[in-house]
Amino acid sequence: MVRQTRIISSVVLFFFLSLILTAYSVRNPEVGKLGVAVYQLFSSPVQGAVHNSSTFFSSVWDSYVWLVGARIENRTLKRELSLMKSEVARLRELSQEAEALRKILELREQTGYKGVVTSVIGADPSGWVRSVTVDRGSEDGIGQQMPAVLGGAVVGQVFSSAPDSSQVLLLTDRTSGVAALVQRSRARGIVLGNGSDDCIMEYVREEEDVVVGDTIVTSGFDGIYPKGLEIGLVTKVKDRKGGMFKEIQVRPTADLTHLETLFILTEYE
Amino acid sequence: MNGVRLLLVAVFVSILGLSIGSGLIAIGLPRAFVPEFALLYVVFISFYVASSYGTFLAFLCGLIVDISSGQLLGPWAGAFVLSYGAVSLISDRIYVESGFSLVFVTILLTLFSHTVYLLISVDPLTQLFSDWMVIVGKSFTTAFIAPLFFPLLRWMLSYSQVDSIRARGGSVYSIIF
Repeated sequence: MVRQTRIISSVVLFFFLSLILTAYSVRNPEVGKLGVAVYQLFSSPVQGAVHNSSTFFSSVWDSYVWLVGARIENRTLKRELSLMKSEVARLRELSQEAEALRKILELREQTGYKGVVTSVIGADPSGWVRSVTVDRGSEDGIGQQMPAVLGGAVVGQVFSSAPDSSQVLLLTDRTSGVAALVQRSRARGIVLGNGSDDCIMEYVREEEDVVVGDTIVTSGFDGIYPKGLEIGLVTKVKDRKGGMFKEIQVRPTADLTHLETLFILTEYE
Repeated sequence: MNGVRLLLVAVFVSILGLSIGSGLIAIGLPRAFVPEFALLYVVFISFYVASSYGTFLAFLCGLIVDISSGQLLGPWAGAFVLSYGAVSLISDRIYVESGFSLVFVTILLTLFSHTVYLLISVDPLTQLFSDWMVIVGKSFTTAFIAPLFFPLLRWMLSYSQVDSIRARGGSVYSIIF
């Protein structure tokens, strides 16, 4: 009975402490960012090792283990097939990596932006925050609020950086916002994440001209993203009856579910 | 000594578990199939360390999960504390050596902790409805890992020591010293 009373009182105490912490971090978001930088110091070596080993096991599984059963039928043939598949998979990987790097190079040449090429080594596992961890940090000149792009398309912004890794908040996170405009009609608004794979564009006035298929680009007004980077395409436009603003759904151009290589812009006009 | 070991294992399991989850998502595993190791540790201590020190450990595991997300500090800590409290109060009546009861409790506790998390953090209803498949998937994945994970934790903490902590059921002070 005494033990139960102790447990109940400690649960109540720690639960209220959690609520106080939550309220404090809502008012002071920088506290959460400071904490994640400390966490990354400890976790990034582990995360890198886990990423490397999971990639290794994944490639071993894909290129070898699945073929063990079939090898009994025709050992020699399957061995050759396995080698060929591994080679094709390797070349495909190299080709995709080269394509991503080519796009980054094009962007640098066209715009003069300077930045750091990074590899994605992790993602937020809780499922409630849309963010990824990349393998470069403050030692490479990466800092908070630097834009992350894939090709010429916006992916998100850095919200925390440790010496050798950084966390990038994706466009689709519900706390993300990007000042944007419709490329064709120049209508302005803000693209907000809503926790799903799509975004919504808010604050576009009812009388503005927006149709499905329009391209949404950054306006540069938020001081974070340079002007003219592609955000996505309009997939749905709805007029709110009696409202001041349109309801616009935007599908991000960058495939945010399969991110591998990102370009973090460190210098741009 | 026992308390220190529990503390170190809590930190180790939480960080390693989050890193494994993060790595699994990075190679393309859907979020629903990523187990929650920190929560499993909370389930473990709610069975074996039913004391105020266990509440502190649950709070710490939740806080590490909060810190890793870089957003709000506190929602996971609160969710883990309530989950710990719910199980530790009835842990005497659950036969933990049975794999079935362990899986069942873990499923309920994962669903419960996610619900509490959403209620403490913002925008609960829309998130709950849009991502309920992920929560259910996580619950089952975490639950099916539990019977494999518990023996590992018993080995790391040495079962007899944990059992003695449970019997003592003392305060933070009495367990550490």
